[in-house]
Amino acid sequence: MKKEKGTMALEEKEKKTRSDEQKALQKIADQDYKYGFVTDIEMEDFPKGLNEEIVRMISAKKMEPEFMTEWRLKAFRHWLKMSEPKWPHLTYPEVNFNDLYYYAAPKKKDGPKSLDEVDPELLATFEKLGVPLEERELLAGVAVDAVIDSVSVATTFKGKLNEMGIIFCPISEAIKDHPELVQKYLGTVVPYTDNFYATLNSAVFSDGSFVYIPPGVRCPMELSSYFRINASKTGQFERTLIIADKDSYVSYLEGCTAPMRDENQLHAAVVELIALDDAEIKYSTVQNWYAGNKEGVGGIYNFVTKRGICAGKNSKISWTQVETGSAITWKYPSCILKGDHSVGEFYSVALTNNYQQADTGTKMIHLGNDTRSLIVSKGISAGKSNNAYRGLVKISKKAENARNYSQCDSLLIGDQCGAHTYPYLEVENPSAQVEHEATTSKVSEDQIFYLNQRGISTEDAVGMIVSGYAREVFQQLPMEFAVEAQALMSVSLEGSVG
Amino acid sequence: MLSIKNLNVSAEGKTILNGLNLEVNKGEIHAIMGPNGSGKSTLAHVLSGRSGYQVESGSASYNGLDLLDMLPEIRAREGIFLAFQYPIEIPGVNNTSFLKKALNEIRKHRGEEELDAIDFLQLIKKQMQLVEMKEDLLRRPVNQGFSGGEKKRNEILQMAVLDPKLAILDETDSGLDIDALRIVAGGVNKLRSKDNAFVVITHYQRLLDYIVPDFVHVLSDGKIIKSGTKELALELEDRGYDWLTNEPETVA
Amino acid sequence: MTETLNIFKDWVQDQSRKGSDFVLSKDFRQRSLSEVRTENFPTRKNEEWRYTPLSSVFDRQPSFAAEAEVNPADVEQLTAAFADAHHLVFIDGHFNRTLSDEISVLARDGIAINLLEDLEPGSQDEVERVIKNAKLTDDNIFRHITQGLARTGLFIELQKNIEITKPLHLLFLGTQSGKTTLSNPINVVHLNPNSRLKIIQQFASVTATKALTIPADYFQIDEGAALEIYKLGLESDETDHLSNTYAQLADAGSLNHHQYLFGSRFTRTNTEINFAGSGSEVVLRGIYLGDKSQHLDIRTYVDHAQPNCMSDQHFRGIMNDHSRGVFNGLVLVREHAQKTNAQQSNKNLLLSRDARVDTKPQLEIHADDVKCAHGATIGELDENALFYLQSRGISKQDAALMLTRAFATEITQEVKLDSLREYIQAEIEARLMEAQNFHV
Repeated sequence: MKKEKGTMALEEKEKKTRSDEQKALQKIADQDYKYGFVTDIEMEDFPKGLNEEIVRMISAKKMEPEFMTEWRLKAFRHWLKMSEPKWPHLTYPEVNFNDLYYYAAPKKKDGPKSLDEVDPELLATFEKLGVPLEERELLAGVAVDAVIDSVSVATTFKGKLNEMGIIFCPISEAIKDHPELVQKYLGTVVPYTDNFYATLNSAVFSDGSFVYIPPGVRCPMELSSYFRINASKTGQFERTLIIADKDSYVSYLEGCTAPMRDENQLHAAVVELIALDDAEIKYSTVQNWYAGNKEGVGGIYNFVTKRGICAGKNSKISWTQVETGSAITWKYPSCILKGDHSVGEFYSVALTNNYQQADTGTKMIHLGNDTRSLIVSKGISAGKSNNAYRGLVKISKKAENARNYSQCDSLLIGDQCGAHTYPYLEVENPSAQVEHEATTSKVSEDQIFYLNQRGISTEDAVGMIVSGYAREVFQQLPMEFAVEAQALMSVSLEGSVG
Repeated sequence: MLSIKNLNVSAEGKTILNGLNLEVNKGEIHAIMGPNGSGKSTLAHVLSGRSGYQVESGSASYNGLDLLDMLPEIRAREGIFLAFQYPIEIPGVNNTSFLKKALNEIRKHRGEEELDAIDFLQLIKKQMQLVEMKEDLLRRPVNQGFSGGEKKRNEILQMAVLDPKLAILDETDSGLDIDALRIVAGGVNKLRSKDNAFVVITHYQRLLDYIVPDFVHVLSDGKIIKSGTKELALELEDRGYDWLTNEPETVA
Repeated sequence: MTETLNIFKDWVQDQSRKGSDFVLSKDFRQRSLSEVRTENFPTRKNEEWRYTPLSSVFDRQPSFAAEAEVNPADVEQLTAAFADAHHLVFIDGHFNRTLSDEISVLARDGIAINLLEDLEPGSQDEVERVIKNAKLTDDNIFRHITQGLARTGLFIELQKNIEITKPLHLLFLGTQSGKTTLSNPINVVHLNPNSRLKIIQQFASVTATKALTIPADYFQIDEGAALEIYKLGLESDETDHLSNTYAQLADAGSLNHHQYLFGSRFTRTNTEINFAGSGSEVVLRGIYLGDKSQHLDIRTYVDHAQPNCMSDQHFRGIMNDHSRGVFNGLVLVREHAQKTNAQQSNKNLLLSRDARVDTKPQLEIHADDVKCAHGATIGELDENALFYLQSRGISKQDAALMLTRAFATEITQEVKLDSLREYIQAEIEARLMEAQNFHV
């Protein structure tokens, strides 16, 4: 039975690889959110609400060492003093933080040792998501650390990675098994005082991924993790920590989907990346969480803090993101370029439709000499949505010969949406060269007609034009992801052009 | 194949085509000439389904179908091809994938099997020789960074690949030097057959030295005021349009 | 800081109580002064003042100067540069009739110039109407102080179809050292349909003058009318200059607004444009050139509220020594403002290790059929160009000067009045020569 499935998937995959990118843009049959279902697994919940007791319970439940409990509590106490940020281009009803569950885990005494032990219903969930673990394992050479509501349930390829000294595991496991690494690096890039949501995350984070690449090792496969928000009213607080030691390389893929619900859900993840001398981290995200329906009801609030530090010389951090989901997105994957000759990159496609709101961008903080950063942001607004790029490029006084180039374009589809660009350039060293450019364009009727006249339907035409516009960013994604991302764009744009 | 009867078309409240009649049969080449603003390009646009025009009255049937009632992509799939006067640039969209997509949409419509990448590349390479196009243009985005001549050759390449039944060339000669003109015309001549037809819209006679029409029509104020054979084009070259437009109405 | 603000606020109320001869109606003044509340004082938490701390400004409590004797030679020297202009001269916040051209003579050309102090009580309605009509997005306290404490100002009105070819030269001169003088002129300009006017607005001081200059400008440009304004900020290093400018354009109006800001210890200009009709065009140009520890902050806000308008902004900063430049511009294209064409460019030269530039060019777009683009650059002089000139035998300093001059000329060349353009270019030259890095 399983075998059969595998073969089918193989055929699917071959077809996919053979077909070119336009194929991926072909209408995906189902107009509604494809991943809208609820997995019926018994959940183990803590009481609603947030106080020191809950924070201690989370820490105790996870059998964390003392330093972790203390760190969580410090964060919680700090959080009590903070207030929610207000942004001019994001509007949403206030979140009642005492009406959320801060911990939910599938009821299982011991973690599964192999895929066979994984709850079959969970596996089915992944299948529906298009992330069949065993197939990935067999076909794509991707190790998947799958997270459903807070607790990692399956980790594959552990053996092979272990041999190379690579640690790829749930962060809860890393806290127990590699406390020295966690203690050394956790909170060094995003301190627990950083911002309202990051501080909240520090206090209550449930699980997430941990990656450590030892010196001189090039991780042989794309590490991949799929996040899902499943239980109703569960705020999800993922924490990811990736350390690339000297002269190492890793590419990490994060994919996110969530089932459909008529209730807004909060997601406040924190991702920290650390690249030491000559190391490179490539972090790619495709985010297609439920965006709410056409009337703007429901959808995920995605308030994420992602930041990397190029701590060593010649290090490089590259963020690539394709954001098509969530009712509200608020995220600025950033790079602190501390090491001399370090490089930061940010490639982003953010697509909003209906009533979605996205406020996203990056911060490039140049501290070291000869540091370089590149920002390529492609915003696409449709329906009644609002899409903002907000970015900071800072060249500090001691950063000699820093270079930055930013290109932030907006594409508007229809006359009901908004596209905004807020770059901040702060330069304190004259040897810097900083350049920002932005343009606004629309999908023109001429372009659509030209494609129509060659036999291509309007829906396909829009998909092609939009993908062409975002090509520079898609090229940064691993092939597998790029195809999926382009398909997602077409789905997300359905009905946006009449 | 194409039968236009008493077609009246307006745009933004202004009448542009004013009782136009035209019959095109398989295997024929029709040249439509006329002064600026006579409605030549409008005719091309209306036949291919561009928005922004109001058909007030009259009809256009194409192989027995009501042409004016069809979406632009359906007309294309039914075999109508418009070579644009100003080909549109589409940033980031690869010229080859675009054309492959277009061809396969048309093949699907005809009930033919879609071409895979290898067969398609063979086809396109063969047709490229027809228009002497450089191969790197295939890898570039549609019409972006193309010179004026390259854009027009790209139009003819698309025509060669899509193999239309009725091709409308909208001032394809404008902005072309004599070599490019020769190449473009050569492409058209190789494609003409007893099964297809061409409507060649042009302002100048010189294109007709290369693409020899069976009929020449003079369009003025939205209707055809004179029809003839290729000799009419030469006469127009000699005498301009004034002698026609100033004459009392002649029956087309 | 709160302490300082309270003292400053008290000072404002105190001036209002003590002062007489205010030129706007009591109601209007009081409404203005009621806006001068602690919570309305700009702080760096306010996005519009993020890079511009005001503590040094609030540290001083300026006062009204009495009408002072002024050496006519000082004024003549300044007016001589624009011989072909009508001159209106303000000294230390007072209109000076002796040094100004006769207003009644100007009236003969069809240009009605009213001094606010000459308006009969009750006849200020028209001026107050124009001011009230202005809805500023950075509604900072300074324009309210200007209005609440206004003792002089101009209400200029051009009748339909009148074109004044000779520019109007408004000179605001500070002469007082020692105590800080308050200069808070209001300039209200109303161009009736199809009229055209050029204004040179010059802020200058006699050496070492201490002043707080807080002008408020209101321009109402009716159908088909065209206004050209050149603002020169050339005050002394001891002067703080904070201005607010609001322009509203009806159909097919045109505004050409240039700012050349070279002087003052501290400068902040806020220019807000409102397109109230379609088919209008606005060109904003500016150079901010700083040396020593000057702080120069340019804010623009262009509101495309109506379709089919064009705005084109180009600002350049040249920062020497310890100076700091800020550009903060925003283009808003509202829903339905289709066919908008909005361009915004900001380029900066950092010529010293201790200089700093912060720039924030912003676009907010709610219509799809628009052409909008912006760009910003920050950097030093192009090394290749420097080397090229040196390889032809030109000294590095001269080469740097040539390139910097060229950088500025791309803006100044658009000044249409010859004598003014030459004047501005000479000012730039002189200031560059004075800055450390061009010392030969």
